Amino acid sequence: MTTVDLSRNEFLSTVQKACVGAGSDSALAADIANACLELEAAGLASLAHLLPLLEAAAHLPARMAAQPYAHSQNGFFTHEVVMLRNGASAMDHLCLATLTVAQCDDLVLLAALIVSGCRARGRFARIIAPGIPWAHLDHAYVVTAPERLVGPITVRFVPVEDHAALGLPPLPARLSVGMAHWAALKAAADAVLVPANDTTRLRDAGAGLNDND
Amino acid sequence: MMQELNTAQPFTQNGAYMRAPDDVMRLSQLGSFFPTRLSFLRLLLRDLAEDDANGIWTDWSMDDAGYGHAVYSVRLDGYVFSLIAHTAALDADDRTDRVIAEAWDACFVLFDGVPNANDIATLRAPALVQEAGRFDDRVLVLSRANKSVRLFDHVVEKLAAGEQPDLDRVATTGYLMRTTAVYGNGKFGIADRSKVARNAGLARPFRLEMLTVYLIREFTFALAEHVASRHAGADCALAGPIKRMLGIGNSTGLGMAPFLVNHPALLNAWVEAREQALARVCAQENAEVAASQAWPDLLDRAGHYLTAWKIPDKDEQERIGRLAQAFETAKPVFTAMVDQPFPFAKIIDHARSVSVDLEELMIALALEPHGPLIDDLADTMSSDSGSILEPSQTLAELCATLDTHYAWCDADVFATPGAMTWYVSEEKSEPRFGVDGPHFSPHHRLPLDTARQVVALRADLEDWLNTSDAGETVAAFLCAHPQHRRVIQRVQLIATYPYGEIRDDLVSHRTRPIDMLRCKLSFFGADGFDPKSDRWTRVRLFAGAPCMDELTGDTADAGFLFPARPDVLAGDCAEQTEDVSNPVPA
Repeated sequence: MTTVDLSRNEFLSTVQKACVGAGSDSALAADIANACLELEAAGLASLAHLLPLLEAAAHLPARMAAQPYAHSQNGFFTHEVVMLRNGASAMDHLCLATLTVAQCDDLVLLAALIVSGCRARGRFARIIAPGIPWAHLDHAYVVTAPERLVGPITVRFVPVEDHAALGLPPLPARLSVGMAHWAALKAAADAVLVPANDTTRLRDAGAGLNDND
Repeated sequence: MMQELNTAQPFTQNGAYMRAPDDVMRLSQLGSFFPTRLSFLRLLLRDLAEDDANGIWTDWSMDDAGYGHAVYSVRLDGYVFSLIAHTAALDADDRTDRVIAEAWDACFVLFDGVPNANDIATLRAPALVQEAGRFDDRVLVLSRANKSVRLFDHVVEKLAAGEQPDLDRVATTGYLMRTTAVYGNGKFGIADRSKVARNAGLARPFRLEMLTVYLIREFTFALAEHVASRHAGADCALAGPIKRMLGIGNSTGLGMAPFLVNHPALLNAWVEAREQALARVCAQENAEVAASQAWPDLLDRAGHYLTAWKIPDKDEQERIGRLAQAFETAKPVFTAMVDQPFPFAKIIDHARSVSVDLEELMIALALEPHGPLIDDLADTMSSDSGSILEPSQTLAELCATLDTHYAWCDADVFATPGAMTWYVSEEKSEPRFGVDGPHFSPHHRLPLDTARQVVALRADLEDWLNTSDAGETVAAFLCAHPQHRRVIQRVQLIATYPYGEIRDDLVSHRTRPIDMLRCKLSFFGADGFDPKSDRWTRVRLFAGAPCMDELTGDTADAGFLFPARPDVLAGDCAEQTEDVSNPVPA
């Protein structure tokens, strides 16, 4: 497969734009971008997980941002692409309680959201799930997951002193992404762009037209 | 536009000599900033001087007209970096500073190390198309520039005739080329900042972007001298004082405005360092001898500078005129105050009582002679801190932060949507600022409407706290109101980085994006602020700076702030026309 060499910043910013284009708010989009980087660090093709969710979101009338949010004492119940928002909230709750997500579209990406949130906070989560799509159990790092898995997934917050000892791989400085995936991601990111014309060039950019001096 | 009067209390009365974020982080204040000795290009030159840096042309392959390529290499902070320059003929019709341009007089990459012939050849094609090219992480910065054709041609013509250029023409334009974009941090595949920031020196903000522009300035001198020499058939050299007066022009649009909102920890680091520096200076009970001796000359330089600062925009020129008048009126007071107790606190207070513009001008002047006292603050101006939500924070703690840092978000003012919105144009993904309306979808709007987000958060918090305990966590609140996740994250961050928030409405029809541009450009060290609209400006970088071959610990800062006009230095020019150092290979 033809690949493209990307800087980390380029990858993260494009994922963020694609998520915002699909209806995510910017904070969640940043979390998802970091989760994708976490997947790449684990050797997984993050865009293979993300792009179907973005595609699904693009076809939902209310999009990601407006989906209802379900929560009960038993945990978070997700459906469709709402898991992305719930994944972020799952991170938020890691400090507070054991969390069970009953079902979602892409547990691998959900787990990555949790792992990246923990990495950023210097905390760690123990993720227990059927098939162990992405699990850190007693420092074991397993990435032999099926591409898509239906829950439940249980997350339990585990404080650790030595983050490095958990064996998280370093986040990649450069990324090699499949050309088709990259093209699809950039197309999704283009949803945030606004068409331009001569009027907006002059009025909204405020720039002149003749720069010879 | 009316000059804004400063209604804040004299800060010498609060005892701490530190201006509050509520005073500093207003658009009107930020939009009046001047460069200081803590500006990034000043830090670069001091570090280059400390490194005893000396650039060399490792390749100079230019034809008689100055088209071809050249490579200039320099060592900084223990590493060698090379500017690769490619030039080509450009029709006048194609010469535009707008980011949508597709051709330029010169294109540049800053290369990690010294490129070999193959590197130069393979990077040529992508460098010439800039944003349309793909790069790898050997490339650290990408840039391009257009000539000021009239001044460039004039300089070449005069040098070829054995003369120096007309000083008035040099002063009026101020640069031989102006950059229209300088890209760093991973754009188009170039190296991320994480690779660039290898040590404390290289981790300084925009360090390699500043280096690139400085090397481009060296290139413009060499190019003009090369073309003139080929025309004349003999070596031609631009006089040192004229070189020093010439900076690099820069056309800057809205691209840099959202940066300030999107990097609150970094903005805080910049502003807090500046405010700490001011506080240290103002806490001095008596002026140090060196500062006292330098003060009259600094005041004179500022006066000359304000008088010479001429721009086409009528409103902005009137503003400069008012500042110049206010400065001249107050100058005897500032002269006398330097010998009084707590001189700089009094000077700033007096300036503050007159206008925001005068206050900021005098801050730049007050910091200038205090290098030994404040230069260490440069080490605090970097920040890679991200924003992580703290879910276990209680709602009571969140409300307290809102009360402390967001009291300016008046619910009556910000209850309705803003009249304007920030969005990203499809043209090279550049930010723009336009009238809001139904033609924008929610995902088109950049979330720069912080005040309105805070007002909406407060409303939902009040409802929540009517039935729930303030000891509940942010995480619990967000279960019911996930739409506030971003703004809560931001509020939590600002509690630690209070100078990281612009405390003003950024989506009002009264908002002037140019204020954000001037703030950021002042930290770069840009001068000659020349707004072409409230969204776009031209500036100069490195005007007044010593050239590479002149850099020493003594010269790195000398005469830099508010550089004097060349006509003031006319006598020097005649003396130095024979001074040719680091000549371009013939």
